[in-house]
Parts: sequence; structure tokens; C-alpha cells
Amino acid sequence: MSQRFASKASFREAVAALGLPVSDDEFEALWEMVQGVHDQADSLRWYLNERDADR
Amino acid sequence: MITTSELPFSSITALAERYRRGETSPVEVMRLLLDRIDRLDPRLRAFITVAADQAMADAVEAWGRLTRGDGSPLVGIPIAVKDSITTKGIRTTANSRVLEDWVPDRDAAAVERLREVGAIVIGKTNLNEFGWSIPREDDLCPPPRNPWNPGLAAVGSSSGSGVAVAAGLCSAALGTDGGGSVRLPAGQMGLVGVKPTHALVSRRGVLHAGSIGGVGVLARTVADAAILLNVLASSGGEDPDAAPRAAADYMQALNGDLRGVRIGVPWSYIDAIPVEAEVCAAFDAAVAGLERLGAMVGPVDLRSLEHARAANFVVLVAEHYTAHEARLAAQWPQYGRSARLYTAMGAFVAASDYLRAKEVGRLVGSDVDAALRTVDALAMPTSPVVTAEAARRPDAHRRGINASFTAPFNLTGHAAFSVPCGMSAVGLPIGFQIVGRRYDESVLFHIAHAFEQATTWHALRPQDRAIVGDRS
Repeated sequence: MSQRFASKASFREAVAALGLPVSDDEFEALWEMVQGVHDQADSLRWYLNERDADR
Repeated sequence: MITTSELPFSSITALAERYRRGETSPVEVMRLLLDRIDRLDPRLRAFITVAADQAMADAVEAWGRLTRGDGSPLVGIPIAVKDSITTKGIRTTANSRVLEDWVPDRDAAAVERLREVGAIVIGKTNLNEFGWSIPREDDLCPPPRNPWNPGLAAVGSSSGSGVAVAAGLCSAALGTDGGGSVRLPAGQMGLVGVKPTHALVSRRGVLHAGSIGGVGVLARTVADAAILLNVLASSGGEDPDAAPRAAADYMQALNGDLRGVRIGVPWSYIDAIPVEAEVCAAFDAAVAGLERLGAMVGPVDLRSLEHARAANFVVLVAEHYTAHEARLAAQWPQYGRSARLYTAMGAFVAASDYLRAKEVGRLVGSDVDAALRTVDALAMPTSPVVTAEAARRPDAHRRGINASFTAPFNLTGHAAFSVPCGMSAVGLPIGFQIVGRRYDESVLFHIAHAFEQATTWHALRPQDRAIVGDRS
């Protein structure tokens, strides 16, 4: 699981800073979704490192 | 003599021929289709807006063009347009309450081209909100049902376009495709789905196409798709991403068998994806069919496609948020629940994530280019799953698993078609995908046409009584 945010609380602060009026249940869903896209983004970083190492 | 039950399913080529012979007229066909929409669409929900009055007026004008000897194959042909493609004088909502009452004052470039040659916009079709959400019953327009089995949903995001063509509510439709949104519904509804080379069709007037989305075609036959792309394809300059090129006549490619054609199958990538058994079986049969037609089919190693799928997802997420950033917070309640979360997700993608995803696109694109120097086309399933319900399982949808075979080629920009190749136990069609070099759609039309002529999948059609009779 990606760890871009130190905690859910820090993620909540980031959401609030954008002014997005998310409800509590939306916040939980968004947290899961953001973790997912970060996992995918991290997989790309690893892939590029690997591919770079192969060159 | 063709019957009124067969007429709505005529190919464009057959309908144009009937117009010229005087066997029917655009006015008669438009009346028939509008009546079918009245009867079937309350159940199917293919259309957000039916442009009945304008379409009838255009049909009268088309009849005039035909009597004056206009030879365009699209005069009087009813086309549906995805509601994220702008249409002059016809409401364009992208199925969002954010745009609920917006009536554009200019057509998108693709619509403009179709209208110039006499095609008629019959209406605007349903989609996932802004093409980027899991559809819900409380959407502005609730999600379309699949005419092949109305108990099941139609996959998107060009779901309404697919339903409208498959159910005989129009002759063909425009969709948009940023990760498979033309090819996936085409595959699931027994249609030919064409995602052209990136920017071959101008994206002017397409809402939020971003750097990897574009206009595609859903049609009943390969020839119909070729006729449409002949009109839609730009020779460069109209879209800033398009390379200058000589105009092609794709109809010229619709001939012959596949002797001498080399087709590569990325088995190592396919085997790494959780593909349903029925899809595997249909694809295996399609490969055998290609071989019987004379194609030389062999493996190609393209395991890097896995990373292109993930990269395409990251790019879509980031670009979608960027397109909506200015209004998302202020209009939060007007976005549907799924759409606002899918959009907000992109706020948390870093610039470095986005740039890495684009770099993956460049590298995988060069891998695909290398493979396409050894073969003429690639073949693989269109979708790993049969139903929209399976595609929309949240764990899979959020990672773009349903677009495993389609999304990589949005990122790389290669031409990719879905062609009907089977039928599932739940009564939904199955498609397979062929991928070709950029700006080499002719090769794909040649392969798709040869396969279509040797099979009967494209001739199957859903039954009206199943649509209106199934209220479960």
C-alpha cells in the first residue's frame, strides 16, 4: 500500500485544503481510491528504474 | 423486399443503396427509427436527448440531396453522437448535471464533417458521467441496459452509442475512447469498434479528450466503419497532435484473404491478465479463424503492456482532474457521487507521477512499434470479462483491469479495432482486438473485413421482444 500521506488525518487536511466538500463516507472511498492510484504510480517508478538498470 | 423489422439493422452500404433505388427514403427510415426509440429506449436508455424535430427536418433535406443525385454514401444516414461530443443546437450534457442545460453553438469537427456529407444526427447518447465514473441509477440519465440481455448493463463509457447501434436505433454512432470506451462497448454488443490512430480524427469539440482520448466509431459492419472513417479522418492540421498524411480510402482495403498477413499475439501479456474462460475460448477460435484465412500467427513478447495500462490510468486520472479543477469544489453537489470521487482522485497525482506515466507511454510505444516491424498487426481479446457488472467491480475498476487490453494503445496512440468473434452464455457478444501501426488503419480494415466475411457474428442481432418483454 502506498504511503504518500503520513496518516488519514493528513490526507483529510489535503482534501480540505482543496476546498472539496466531501462527506465522511466519500472521504473513506476517496482515501481508498487515492491509495490505489498511488500504488499504480509507484509501480511505474519501479518499472522505469528497472528498465533504466537494464540499459 | 426488405421488411420494417430488418430495415433498422441495415448496414450503411445497404441503406444507401436502397435510397438510391428508391426503395425507401431518409424520411421513412427516420420515422421508423424514432418510433423504435419511443418503444425501446425507455427500457434501454441509450439516448439522453433525441433530436427528433431536427432529425426529421434533416431527413427531408437529405431526400432532396438524393433526388439531386448527391453520391455521398452518408446522405440520409442516421448517426447517434455520444453526449460528450458537442452538437450545434442540440443539448450536450456529458450526462452531468453540471452541463444539464448546455446547448453548444458549434459542432465538434467530427460532427461537422458528418453533417457536411449529409449524415443526420438523430440524438445524443448516454455515457458514464464525463466518461469517467461508475454509472449509477441516480445519474442525470441512468445507465443503459444491454439490448442483448436487458437484465445486464451496457459497458461504457460510450455505452449509449453501443446500445443505439446494436438495438437498431441508428445506423452507426460516434463515441470517444480514452482507455477502451469505444472498443469495450463494441465488443460487448457485437459491433465493430474503431479507435483510430491518436488524433487522426480531430478532437475539436470533444469534451475533455485530454492527451490520449479521441473520437471513435461504432458500426455494424467493417465497411460501415470504413465509410465513416473516410469522412472523419483528417489529413493533418485540424488537430494539433495529428501528423500530416495523405488521405486514405479505407474501402480499398476491404478485399481478399489474409495470405501473407503476419499477426502477432502477445501471449505472455494475455496470460498474465485474469481473462474469463469464455473470452479465452472465443479469442482462441478467432486466432484459428485468422489462420484458416491464411494469416501467419505467432507470438510476440509485449509484457510491457502491463505498465502501459497502469500508466494510462494515471494519465487519465491526472488529466481529468485538471479539466475539472476550476469547477469541482464549487459544483461538487452537481457532479454525481461516483464522478466527483473519480475526478477528485486526480488532485493527488504528483507532476512526477504524470510525467513518469507519459515516459512509460513513450517506451512501451517504442516496444509496440518494434513488434509491428515484425508483424502487420497484433491480436488479443478486447475485454478480459463479458459483463459490465464484472468490469465495474470496484477493486478491478479502480485499477483499470477491464481496460487491460485496450488502454495501452490509447497511451501509445496506435490504431486499434474491436471485431465480433463470439457469444457468451449470458447472451452477450464477445469481441477481439487488432492493433496496427499508427496511421495504418488500412491493414486493420483488411484483416477485420476478411474475418467478418468468414464469420457470422456480425449478422446476429438482439430481439426487440426481449427488450420490451423483460421487466425483471
